[in-house]
Amino acid sequence: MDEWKQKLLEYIRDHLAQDPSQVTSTDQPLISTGIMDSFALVELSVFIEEEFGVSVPDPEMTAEHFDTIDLGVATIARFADDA
Amino acid sequence: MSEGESSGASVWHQGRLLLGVSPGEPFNACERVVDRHCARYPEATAAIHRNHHGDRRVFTFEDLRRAVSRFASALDALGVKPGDRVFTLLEPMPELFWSILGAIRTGAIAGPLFAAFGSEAIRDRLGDSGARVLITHGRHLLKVRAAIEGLPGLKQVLVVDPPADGLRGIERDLAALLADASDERPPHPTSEQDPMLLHYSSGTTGKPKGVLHVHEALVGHAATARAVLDLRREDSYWCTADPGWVTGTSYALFGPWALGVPQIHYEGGFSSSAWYSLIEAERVSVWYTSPTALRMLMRDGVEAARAHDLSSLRHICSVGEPLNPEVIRWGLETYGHTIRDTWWQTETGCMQIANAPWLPVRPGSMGKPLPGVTAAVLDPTTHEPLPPGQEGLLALVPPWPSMFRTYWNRLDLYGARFRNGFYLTGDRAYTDADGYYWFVGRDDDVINTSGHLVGPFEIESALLTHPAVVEAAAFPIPVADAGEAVAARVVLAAGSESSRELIRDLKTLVRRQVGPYAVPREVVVVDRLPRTRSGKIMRRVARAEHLGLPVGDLSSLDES
Repeated sequence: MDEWKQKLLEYIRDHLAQDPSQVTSTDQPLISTGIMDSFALVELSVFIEEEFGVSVPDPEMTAEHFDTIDLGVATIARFADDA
Repeated sequence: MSEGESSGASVWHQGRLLLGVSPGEPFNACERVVDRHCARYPEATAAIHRNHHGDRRVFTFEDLRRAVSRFASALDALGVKPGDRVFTLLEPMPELFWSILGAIRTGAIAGPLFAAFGSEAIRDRLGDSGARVLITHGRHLLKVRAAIEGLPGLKQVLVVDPPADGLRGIERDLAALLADASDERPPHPTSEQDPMLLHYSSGTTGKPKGVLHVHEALVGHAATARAVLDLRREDSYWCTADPGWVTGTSYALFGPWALGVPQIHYEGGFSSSAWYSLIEAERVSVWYTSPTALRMLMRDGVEAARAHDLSSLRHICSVGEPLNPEVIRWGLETYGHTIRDTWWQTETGCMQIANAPWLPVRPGSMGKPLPGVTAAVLDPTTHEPLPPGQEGLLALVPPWPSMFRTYWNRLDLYGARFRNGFYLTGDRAYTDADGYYWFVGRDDDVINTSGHLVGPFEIESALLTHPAVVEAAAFPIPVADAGEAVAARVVLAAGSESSRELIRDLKTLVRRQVGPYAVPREVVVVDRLPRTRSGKIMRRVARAEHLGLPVGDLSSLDES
């Protein structure tokens, strides 16, 4: 889980954030604060599938479920268990 | 055109009555939306500003008048003259609204940019418009510095919340400038035909073009804010659009304030709980939003909505892309109201065809032309009106008050939008026997992604800045929730290989240079792209190949 969090943090910081310097922790809200826009959820979904081999169903890829990296990893874990 | 489309009193006439101006009478839009109300009800609420930290600030019309006066006199002190271009790159914070109105107060032309624009998007717009001043936030300085290098026309960059490591070159601390500024700066006596606003709009080829609007546009904003949004001073109104796009200036600034209506400005990202909490806390009665937002709210389910008291809502409208019938049905079930779609463009300045409150809604339809608007569906070749049921080019009969007056420095392209006495919208549509309009799609290569129009050329240009990419074609693809997404096909340089990392890097390039809304959902490496004999990339054929559709008769596309 910690490895997932670290990978997600790096990916969001380097590829998805408006301002990479604002991405500092796994418990900070990202979408509701505007640090990451909701458009990024589509790319995040692809990244999760490619890197973690977990397919999160589209209806679950919401701003609510991925506002923080911690929340996002918990969501991913739910579907990893189902696999 | 069927009879009755233009029946009833023209909404433009009503707009002038609401504004208190006669045709040809000079006025300054800033004066009409701010000072006019101060004479009658200075302590009435003009804006409620909220951010994602939970801060809430209330501004009266008198607060607004003093703030925009200070901004205007600060611009005076910098030597800004009527007709100069003053641009903003700010989230919807109070300073954004004050900057736009402050510039207009001086007779300058305001140019609001979407804060998430990438560096190339910023550079293109500042360079094309010859902007003199840019007002931005400290957090954007990194990309602003990259964007403005070598732009000789730009004289000052005014910074909200400057960074701790200081400002350099032409950057100035905005707060320090405002501290010395007068809050009693009268509006410049503009004529109604003087320019006031420059928004950039994407076309099929080349860079985005500056769509120029004049003070008279306010007549259209006021008229439609009343006729379609049904706004009254006792409403609590929230338009979710950002003033970096035209909806955010016409309907999160000018229209409601032209009527003296208090509005909510929210500076934060999307989440269904944050949005519903805001509607509940502010007792929002009229809500103007987008199909993308509604689809995201739908995804979060009815329960998310039921967890909040949304009973204050009385009227909901939508804009940006066609509203799918499924969303309308869901909205009725969830909010108890029929969501009403509206159609207009950056160029039209305000709503033209809409599901106005008096019209029975046919889900999926654009509605009907507003009284005073004459629309038609034209034959693509002859530009003659077609009968109901036949698909063609959606067109409007000019002029109307908020019609754009030119594309900045591109009068040639402006002229090309008018044929046979019609303004060609670039959209395809048909009418039914009862005069309802039905949107079919774009008539050009412009991509509508989540309500943002984006030109393929901008995306291709960003992709081509990667050393491994030698050719690129960007085009729209349909997505599951009834919208459009961007896709791209690229040809790599000899010796370069496709990889997961390369695709990620390409998407990031588009995000950083153009903006997050323009990022291709799919990027596919191909050996070749279809070209005309003269070497022009045929995006429609590339799209057909991408989607596995019949490519069709290429001869007709050959030199198009």
